[in-house]
Amino acid sequence: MRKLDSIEGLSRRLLRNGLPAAYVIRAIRELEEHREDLFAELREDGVVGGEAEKKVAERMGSLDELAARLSRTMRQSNWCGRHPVVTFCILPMLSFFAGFAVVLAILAGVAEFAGWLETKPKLTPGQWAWVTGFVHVLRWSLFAAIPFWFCWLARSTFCGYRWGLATCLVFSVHGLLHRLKVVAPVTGGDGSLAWGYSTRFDWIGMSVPLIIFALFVILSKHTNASEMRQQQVQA
Amino acid sequence: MRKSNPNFLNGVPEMLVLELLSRQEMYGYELVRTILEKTHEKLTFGEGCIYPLLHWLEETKLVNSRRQEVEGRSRNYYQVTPKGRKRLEELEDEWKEVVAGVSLVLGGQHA
Repeated sequence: MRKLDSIEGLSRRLLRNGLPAAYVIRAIRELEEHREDLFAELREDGVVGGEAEKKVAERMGSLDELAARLSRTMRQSNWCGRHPVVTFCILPMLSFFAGFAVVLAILAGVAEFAGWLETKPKLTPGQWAWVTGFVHVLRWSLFAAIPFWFCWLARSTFCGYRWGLATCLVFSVHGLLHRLKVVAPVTGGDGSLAWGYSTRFDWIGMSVPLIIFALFVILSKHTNASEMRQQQVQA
Repeated sequence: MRKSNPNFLNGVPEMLVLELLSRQEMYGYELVRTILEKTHEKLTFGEGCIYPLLHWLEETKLVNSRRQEVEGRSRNYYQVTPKGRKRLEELEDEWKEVVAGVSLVLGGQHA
């Protein structure tokens, strides 16, 4: 990685690491103010120009180390940052299963309450298409929403893009192997929901979380740029 | 179960910053200057490194900050929270134990 030699470079690196723009702006502002105070102190001592620049850089310390420290210490300040594997690799999968189970349980409860289960054998193929469609929409919604939410969590807990990517990769493998099939009842029998993993790869299931990650990064960069511009205007 | 010993120097910068901020609110540069003066420049460090520590303390609610303008310059002033004061007491107790333990060893060596 290229050695940092300016506060602007530090700001770019922090943003590239996926830290929230609001935090980067605040950290950079404080560092700039500290530098101004150091220059003022040196000016009082009669040190100016290149000599002052050199002394200030020396006293501020290595910007590379500072970038690493800012990322590390902020990450360590919250539970997600201290347990990133649990948060970004295990919890998303649990959320998927739990989300699916909860929505289906609610649906089954509503169906029972409304007495739809009594009429189940009488559902027409068209109505079963709606049931099948709903289950698949639910599955794909969870496939998109959960990686996006965990990407957002990674960024807001200072864990950066790489842990958001970790969630998306885990989901991508899950999507590659996961199978879901809703079977309509034949001549008055019971319908079924088949769920599991298969070696028949689902390439779309694999791609969706990765596309979500790419969209999240683009969206974040856009938001960062707009926040930084706003900050410059205010300054 | 016996409590494990704290790492010797882990927590020292945290303790110093909390101690100084418990006396009065300060901004980053002022804090660095005070540490250098009080320690007769025996503790030297990259001055930028004070900010990750301050931000971490703020994120963990041990200090809070406010933006204030003084003599035409706007700065982030930090002050200790009640939770920070409690943490400071814990750190001071741990530190005293470490110092007492080390003194016993060094004292034994010199005896």
